[in-house]
Formats: sequence, C-alpha cells, structure tokens
Amino acid sequence: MIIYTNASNPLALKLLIVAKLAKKNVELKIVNLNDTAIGEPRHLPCLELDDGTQFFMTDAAVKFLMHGIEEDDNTRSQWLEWSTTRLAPALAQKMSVGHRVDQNANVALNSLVKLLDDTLKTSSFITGSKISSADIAIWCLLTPNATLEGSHNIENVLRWYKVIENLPEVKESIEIVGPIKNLNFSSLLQCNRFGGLHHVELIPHIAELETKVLAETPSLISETILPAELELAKASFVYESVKLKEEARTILPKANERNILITSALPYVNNVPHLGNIIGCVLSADIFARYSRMSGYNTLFVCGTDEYGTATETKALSENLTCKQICDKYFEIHNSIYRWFGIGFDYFGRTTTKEQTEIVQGLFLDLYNQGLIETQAVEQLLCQKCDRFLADRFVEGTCPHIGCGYEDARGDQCDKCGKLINAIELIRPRCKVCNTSPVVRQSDQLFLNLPKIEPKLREWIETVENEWTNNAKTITKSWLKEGLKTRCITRDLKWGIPVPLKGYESKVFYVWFDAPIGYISITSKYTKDWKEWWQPKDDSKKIELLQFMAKDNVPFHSVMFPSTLIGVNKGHTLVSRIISTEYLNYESGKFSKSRGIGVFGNDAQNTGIESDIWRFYLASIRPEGGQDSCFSWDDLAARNNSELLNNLGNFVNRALMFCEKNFKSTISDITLNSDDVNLLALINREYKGYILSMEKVRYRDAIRHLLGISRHGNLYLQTEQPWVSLKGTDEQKSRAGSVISLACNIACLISKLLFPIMPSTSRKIQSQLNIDVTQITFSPSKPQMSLLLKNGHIIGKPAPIFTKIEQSDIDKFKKKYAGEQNGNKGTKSAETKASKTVEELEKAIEEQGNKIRGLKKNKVEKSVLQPEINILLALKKDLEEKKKQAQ
Amino acid sequence: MTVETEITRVANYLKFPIKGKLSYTEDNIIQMNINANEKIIGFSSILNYFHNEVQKKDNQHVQDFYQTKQFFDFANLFIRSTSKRDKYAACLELNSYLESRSYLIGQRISLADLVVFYSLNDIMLQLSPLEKESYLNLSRWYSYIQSIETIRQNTKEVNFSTIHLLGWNTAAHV
Repeated sequence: MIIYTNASNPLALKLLIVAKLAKKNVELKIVNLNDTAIGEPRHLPCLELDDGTQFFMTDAAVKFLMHGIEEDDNTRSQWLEWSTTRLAPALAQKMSVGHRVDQNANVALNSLVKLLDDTLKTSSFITGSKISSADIAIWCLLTPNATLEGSHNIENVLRWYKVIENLPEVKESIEIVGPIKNLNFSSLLQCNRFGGLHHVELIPHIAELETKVLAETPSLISETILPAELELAKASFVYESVKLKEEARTILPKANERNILITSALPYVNNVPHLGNIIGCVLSADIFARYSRMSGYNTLFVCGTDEYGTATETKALSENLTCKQICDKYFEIHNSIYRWFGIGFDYFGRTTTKEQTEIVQGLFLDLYNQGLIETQAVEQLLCQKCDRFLADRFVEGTCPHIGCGYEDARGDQCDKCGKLINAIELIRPRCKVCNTSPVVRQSDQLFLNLPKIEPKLREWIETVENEWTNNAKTITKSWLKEGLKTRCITRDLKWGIPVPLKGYESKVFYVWFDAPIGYISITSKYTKDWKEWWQPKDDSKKIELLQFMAKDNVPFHSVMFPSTLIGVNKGHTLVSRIISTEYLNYESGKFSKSRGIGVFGNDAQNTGIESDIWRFYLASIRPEGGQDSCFSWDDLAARNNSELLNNLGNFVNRALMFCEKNFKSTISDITLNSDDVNLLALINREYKGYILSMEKVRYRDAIRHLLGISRHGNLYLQTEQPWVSLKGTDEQKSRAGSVISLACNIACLISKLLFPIMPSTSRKIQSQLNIDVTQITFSPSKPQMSLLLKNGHIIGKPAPIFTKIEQSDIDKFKKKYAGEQNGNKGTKSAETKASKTVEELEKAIEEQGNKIRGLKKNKVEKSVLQPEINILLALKKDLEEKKKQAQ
Repeated sequence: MTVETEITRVANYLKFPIKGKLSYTEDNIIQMNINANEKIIGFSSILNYFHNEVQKKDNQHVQDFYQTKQFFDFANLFIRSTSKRDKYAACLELNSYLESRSYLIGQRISLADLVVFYSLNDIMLQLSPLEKESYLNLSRWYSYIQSIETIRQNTKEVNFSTIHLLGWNTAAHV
C-alpha cells in the first residue's frame, strides 16, 4: 500500500501509525496535489491499495486498515468524526498561518480539549482501557506547532499524550515522516481544492434548534503561561546599554558572520510597476533586508532594471523614442517609485552597462570553452519591409488550432483559445508594425546545452530546495520532471548584448540569459570587490544568497541562472533561498500591464495615502503561503482604520500623551508586579512569533504578532486604569507612573519591530519617544523584551501617528481606478455582443452542433472534439446573456 | 436540506423507525438515540451506524463497504459545509469521479449514493443549466438517482432539461 501526501501533513502521520498498528506494509510518498498518481476526488493524504483503489478520506481509510482488528463501533466512529470535523478545523484555524482566524477558534478549541481531558479522566484511552485508532487520530492532530505547550489543567491529556508518544509504532512512523516539529496545519491548505478545512464552521448553525444549552466558558489555553516563561520575561527586562552598529561605507562579506546577499527580481523597464510587482519583489526584499540588517546580519541588497530585449524595442517604437531613451525614461520612473515606497536598496542599477556586457560575454565564453554551447538552425519570420526578424510579439495572424481560427492571435499565444503557438505556424502572419506578410528564413542560433549540466544541477537543487518556498519547489520539479532541453540563448535583435563569437556578431543574447547576470554586474557597479560576494574564495566568508520574486520568475532563478553558473564552474555563489510569491489581484480582476488595469506605483503616490500605509497594507495581504490574494480598497481602509489607527496608533499615542501630561514627559521607575510580568510573557510570545515569521518570510503572520503586542498593551492600560490611580494615594500614583512607563517601553518595542515594515512611521514614533532604536539589533536568538527607556528618560512631543481614511475617499479611488477598467471592458464586450443578434447566435449554435455531431460520427479524438465543444458552450453562454438582456 | 431531514430520509429508505430519535447537542451537532442508554453523535457516525446495520443483511465486499463510508465523511466535510467557491470544487471532483462509474460504489445503489444525493441537493438546485451541462457525469448520475421514488421522497426536484437550446436532455446526452 502507498500513502500519498504533501509534506508536513499531520493526517499522513495518522495513516502511517495506524497502518503500522495494523501490521500493513505501507510506503510513504511525498507529492503535491497535482500529482497524476492521485485520482478523483483529489485529497491528501490518500491511501492507495495494491489494486489501485484509493481512499481519499482518512477516517474511512483508518476504519479499513483496522478491519478485523478493531471493532467498527459507534464510539470509535464518533471520536474519529470528532477529530476530523471538529478538532482539526479548529486547530487549522488557530495554528495555520496566512489565513484570517475565526473568532471562535480559541473558544471552540478550548472546549474541545477540555472534553478530551474529561474523557481521559475516567479511562486510560479515549475509547476505553485499550488504545485504538481514535487515540492515534487525535494524538496526531495535537503534535504540530506544539499545540499543548503552555497549557494547564489538562494533566490527563498530557499523560495520555506521553503514553502514545512512546509507542514503538509511533516512533517508527515519526522517523519516516520526519520530526514532528515539521508538521503543521498550513500544509492542509494544499491538501485539497477546498483550501484545507477552513471552510468548516467551528460552531455549526442549524435550522431547527431543539435543545440548546449554553456551554460554560472554559479558560483559554493560549492565555495560560508557564512559570518558566514568567521567569524568563522578568529576567530579560533589564536595561542593556545601546550598542551602536558601525556601518561600513561599502558592505563586503565578513569572516564568520552571516553574510546575506539579497536580490529582488529585476523589474522589466518597459512599464510602470503595479502594486503586485512591488509586493512580489522589491518590497518583500526590502522588508527582509531591513529586518536582516537590524538582526545584525551583514546584509547587501541590490536590484536594478532589466532593460534589453524585444519589449523595449516595441515600447520604443510605440513612443517614438530610441531604446536608450526609453530605458533612461523608465529607469527614472522605477527609481522614483521605489524611492517613494521607501525601498532601501544598497544599490539600484541597470543592465545596460558596460560591466554587464563584459560579465555576460565573459560567462558566455567560459561556457563556450567548456563545450556547452551548440549551434542549431531555427526557422524565423523575417519582415522584409522592416528588415528584421520578428520576435513572437511582433507577429499576428490567424490561430492555427483547429476550430479556433481567431484572426488576431499573437505569435506566442492565442488570446481566444489560450493555446501556445509557434510563430511560424500562424496562418497568414503579418508584421505588427507594418502589416506586411513576413517570410520564413532559417537563421543559426546558439543554444545552451542544459542536458549536459542537468545532473550537477539536480544534485545541487536537492541540497538547497528545502529552504525554498513551496511554489518554487513545485515549479522547479515540474521543469525537471520532463528533463531539460537545450535552450536558445541568442536572438536576431539589435537591442541587446552582442555575441562575442565570429559569425554571430549581428546577434544579441536572449534576455533570459543576460538578465539574471545583471545581479552580478549591478553588484560590480556597487563595489570593485564584487567578487567577494559572487565568487567567494574565503571559506570563512560564506554567502547566503536570497532571491525574491513572483512565481513566474522561478524557473530563471532555480534552473536557468544556476545552470549558467554551474556550467561556468568557477565557484560562483548560487541561490540559497528562493522566496517567491503568488499573484496579487486587483479587486476581483487582474492587474494588467498591457491593459493598464489596477493601481500602479505612481497612482499610489497620487492618492495622498502615505507610502508606509501602502507598505503595511501590501505586506499584510502579501500573496504568500500558496494562495493568491487580492487588493481591495475597502480592506485597505479597514486595516488602516481598525488595525493601525484604533489599535497600534491609539496605544502608542495614549501611552505617550499620558506620560507627557502627567509625568512631565519623564519615564519613572518601573516596579514589576505579577500582572506586569504576565504581560511581558505574553508580549514575548508575540515577539518570538514575530521573529520566527520574519525568518520564514511570512509577513502576514509577523504583522499579526506585531499587532498582538499593541493589543496586549491596550488591554493593559484598560485594566490598570492609570488615570484613576493617579488621583489616589502616593502608592497608587507611583503605580500609575510604573504602568505608563512600561506602556512607553512597549511602544518603543513596537517602533523597533515596526521598522522593517513601516520605516518612516517607526522613525516618527521614535522621535516622539526621543530615542533611536533602529540601530539596536534584534536578537533573533533571544526574543525577549528588555528595558529600552530608563528611569528619567525624557520623551519628545507626542502627536497622532495615523489618520483615518474616509469612506468617501475610498469610493472616489475605487471609481477612479476601476473607471478605466470597466470602461475598457464595457466597450470590448459591447463590440462582440453587438456583432451578433439572437438569431445569428442561434444559427451559429445550430451549425456548430451539426459540426460536432459530424465529427462524432467520424469518431475523431477528444482533443479535436473538445475545442469544438468549448466553442459551442461559449456560444450558448452568449445566447443566454443576450436573452437575459432582451428581457 | 438540513442534516436532520437527510438522516430521516435515509432512515425512511432503509425502513428504520426514527421518529423522535433525532436531536441536537449543545454544540449544535446532530445526535440520535439508539436506545435508552446509547446515543450517537455526529452526521457521519449516525450514517456509519445505519451502514453497519445494513451490512448485517447485505454483505457488501469489504473494500466497497469502507469505500462507501468515505462518502459519508466527504458529504459531511466537503459538500455540506461549503462556501460558494467550494461548491464548484465538490461538483468538479464528483464529476470526474463519475466519469467511469454509474454508481458511487460498485455496480448498484449504496448508501453512498443516497447520502451524496441528499447532501448535494442544495448545490444542484443552484446550478445554471450551463453549469449542469459542464458537470455532465454528475448530472447524469444525479438525474438517475432522482428518478428513484423511494430515494427522492420529498426532495426538491432538479431540472435537467435544456430543451430551449437544442432539444437535448443534459443528463441523457453522452
């Protein structure tokens, strides 16, 4: 038998342990949801029997495995059902990251665990005195993310937990699955098409309530703190003298330190970047770079614009400028947009430099001398009127796919049927520029022999891919699955780096080959000692290369660029972590460069909303963790108003104003009582969560933890009510001083943690606090709050930090940026609809129907038939809409 | 269709007396009294109980017996508790599953067919004719199960006729 599962899935551990208890021979295979081995319905984990039958629901699989060993009785069935329909969804809600948390998760979870504890009070195991598969099912859910850590009053559960932990079958299984600390509930997000179990209501509603008793409110697990945590919090809360980091003028790798080289995918120069581009690469990289610098890592962050290639030539033609002028123009646009967003590159360069030419040509010659370059003749379309070979985007014609026949298909893809096209297969091709018909000509091109490099590449990927984001791993695997093919690296263009080989002088390198090398050449513009970063000779100066990008760029960074460097074989730095995002959508549609849909970098500036708010919002909707996300104006306003203004801003402002008004802006002595220590311990939990999330580049979670701190702070002020104690006895007055000073210290911690995400807001808070903490490093190994503002420190002038975003503004923006979008769509659909009346559509449907019946009679293949059927369906849809309109 | 109605219809089909036995726990989970001392909590578990009772007379093949059970869980987790987006996922999965099958399990009606049929009713009623057509296998199966009076009982009928377009009956079209 085989268990197919995605990585880190706790439900797979359940199947494995149960199979071992049932003495069945099973093999565990890690796959992703799209793997062809899995049948429908597609759910992971999936148990495949020797005859190929698959169990896609784990409880039934467990019952099957235990057939004849355990009785299939009601008690066990109920507990199994309880574990998958109640416990698992509640845990998934609470523990998994990157998802909004159901308000009920905590409450539901606590009552569930309480029920478990009560059951185990009277019996050794859940269903009685003997261990059963129900125990295993529940146990496996409680292992990930240290669910039970820090809980109290559940001794029975803890005892039971230990007993199961020590079973030999459990130990063996863990050895196969890997350490349980790697299991997590985020893996459930990728285990089915439903996004895991988040859709399951934690406390279900029913239509008819017959008997309903209010459940008593149990104490919250998450609010219970271990004595060790309290001690640590107390011990850490001491003043440490500020060690200022000295900043070298040029950042170079240092011996025995973490040397981190960060790159962000080079934005293509031909257009203005939109919000999706910004959060996908430069902003994600910037937040990490700031975090990394503050963590005391030796960090260099470079980026630049990618400028060569066809798209630039096209743009130049359309704007009637030279390629150089286009690049200069858009380089400035990019540069100013990123500056406005506060992106702190150490160097922002470009690829059209002489350094780039030298390095690219050098690497090419190395590959050539290694025998990795081949020549092949390629058929291309030549426009005789324009006197040039036409790149795919420069040709249009009739789609060659049977049944489509769309007349304006592009050279690479048909917009109508969506299929890929080889430009020379277009029927009646025409040059996009001059509309004349091009001719097919053979032309010799240079190819990189990837199959020769492939074995070494695979070996290398295996050693590093664990650090990559899931989508990067998946995309790379799918590339390698088919095996690599030789790949063309030259083009017949003018705007590019000339090929330094006799007979090929008129050709240039294909952008995919030269663009990634831009990272190296841009570094070389930054420092003459660039080789220390890219070709380190000194073993003590190890380089970690972190590359940020959206998922469409993954193959170039995981396969192509490493292949070039491995092929050259001169000890170049290869990427350690690929951090790729999914896509960001605009409202409910897509951002589109070519159609100009969505908010672009310069639009953001024109809204009057501060860049830090944009940074915060984009980071908090960052499309990470395997799911696309969506930009929404309402959400932007809601987060600004509720999270920044009412939560974080309110707390900081309250603490500082109070200190100014009542304590002459002076910090008093802080005497910690048990409530304060409790608060510190809770804050330290969030602090730790923040650090862990940042290290994993999970900004949504990091922000959640950060806001958690100010939420604790607000609650603290609310319960302590210093404004009341201020009017009391001397003792009460000094307590008020202590409370406010602690609150100011928390505000200071918040400003520090906020810096990577909102640098200017962080500086604003710090100037109000009269301190500079951005120079104080985080200690990722020691995430505990220390005393930052000493007794006697005088704070600055407090002022409101955030402003409310009004609904009227939001409505205005929505209209402004959707207006054009809708306008475009409107005219386009109006055109197509107007072109056909109901009668015409009905006639077309009949004809198409006859065509299909004819094809079916002749028993043609499904692949031919399907497009025809699709056309029919599309026609019917049109007709339906048309009829609706007519009514 | 509420879980209560669904379980009642399954019980009716099986001719199990069920009157007055169903209620809800304080957490709003369905429960059924089997006798004075014992009750079963949970949708899947109640069906699991029915299925075990049927098995005593019916003797389904072991593998099929447990395969049937997984559709109770599937209906519970992925058909009943779905959001708007997910309903298409459930239809898509069942449609592909039914591509090579006439019944969910084996060569005859089982409880799996009944349970999925009832649970799916709300979703099917909402599908447009075009959507029904795109889930052709699902529609064919659903239409067949619906035609069995003893199963359908008072379940709202789903219309599969697309006569106004081309004179095809979606579910009958191969």
